[in-house]
Amino acid sequence: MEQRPKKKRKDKTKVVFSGPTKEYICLTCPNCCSLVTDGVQVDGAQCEKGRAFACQEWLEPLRVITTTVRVETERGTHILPVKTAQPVPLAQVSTIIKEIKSLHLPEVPPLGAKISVREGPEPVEIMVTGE
Amino acid sequence: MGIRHYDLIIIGGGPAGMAVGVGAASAGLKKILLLERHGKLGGILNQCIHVGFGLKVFKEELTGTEYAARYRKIFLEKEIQVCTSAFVHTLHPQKKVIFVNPLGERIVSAEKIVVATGCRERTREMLTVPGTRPAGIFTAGLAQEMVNIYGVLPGKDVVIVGSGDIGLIMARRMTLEGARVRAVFEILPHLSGLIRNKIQCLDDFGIPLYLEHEVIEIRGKNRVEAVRYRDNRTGRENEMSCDTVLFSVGLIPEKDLLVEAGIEPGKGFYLAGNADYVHDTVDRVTKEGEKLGKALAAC
Repeated sequence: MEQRPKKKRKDKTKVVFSGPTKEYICLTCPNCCSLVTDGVQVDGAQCEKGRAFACQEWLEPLRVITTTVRVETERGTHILPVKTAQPVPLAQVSTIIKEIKSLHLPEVPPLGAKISVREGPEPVEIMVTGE
Repeated sequence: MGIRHYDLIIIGGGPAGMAVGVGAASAGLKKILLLERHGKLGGILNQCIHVGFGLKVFKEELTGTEYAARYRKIFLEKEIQVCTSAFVHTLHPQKKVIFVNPLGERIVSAEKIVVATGCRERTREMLTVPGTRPAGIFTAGLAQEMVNIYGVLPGKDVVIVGSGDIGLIMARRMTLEGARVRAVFEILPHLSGLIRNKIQCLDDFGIPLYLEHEVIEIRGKNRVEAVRYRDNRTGRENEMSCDTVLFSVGLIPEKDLLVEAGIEPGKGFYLAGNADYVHDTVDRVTKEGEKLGKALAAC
């Protein structure tokens, strides 16, 4: 019989909140931890990423968006999968999608290539995720 | 022409098939052939452009396409013969594999044969949803292939039946591509997919999820015009207009090659990945596939 490693125990020290709190489900990994936070302290996270996620979600939810860009070349149409190189504000997703969709690429860029979608103080960059 | 004989033939070049190849070749097995029906290795990962893959195997969050590309690289470094655009139509109990490719039909044989043909989506017909048979009814995975590989939007006004992960992912995907996703109907009292997918695919975009709701009829003459649904808690029925219905109601392991030949797994035939059982993560498919490959090289 294969011995399953013992599950790491959750951090049982209960955080005491004084102010208002919000509840989130962590989107960092498939563990889907239930988090409670007041913007500073976080309860329920199994890892550091979860704590950072809760604080960020409190401030401004960020998401990586994925979509495709249509590249018309002499050899035909190529549907290129891309993602935002950094997580972007959820509130701006529809604007950013429009900006990504309006890109005109002359050639099919290689896997991992970064392309600027928006310059300026709040730059947005996408990364090619397919071949 | 004689029949070419191999130590191992792998049917399917998705994550499972590639992992078996990597495992076997790493453990020293020499004559390996992998048959893939598409022109490119990677399987369904190639249409999964969303993030959430590879946290265990690559220790970072990748898209399905990135996972496929990385693993393809590992796979192609191994000494494995690959035949793409090769569709296996018959297995023979005497360990023969018959496939067609653009050059015609060929027969190969092997000591060991691994079936890594993935899984299939359950369809509307399998649920026996009554109604007409208009255009506009798709499985969620087919819609995913249309949007992500071919750049074609299957419809503009969408209802999703079933709250499986592919359905949730497609709710977001269709929304980002400019379609309106009106609702996700789930017959069970709980979500089928992961809660994280409900949040980032439905809640983020204000798409409602109706639990304990059943789609009882699809209406439309040439194209889907509406669905009728019932709230199973109250029995109340209602209609929702739409031009497209996506089904995300479960996956079934694809073992037809073995079943049709009357072959039981074991005795030289093996199942890998989702053809064996439907896995939660591709990471697990990869790890189990590599393990099986190593074991096959040793015996």
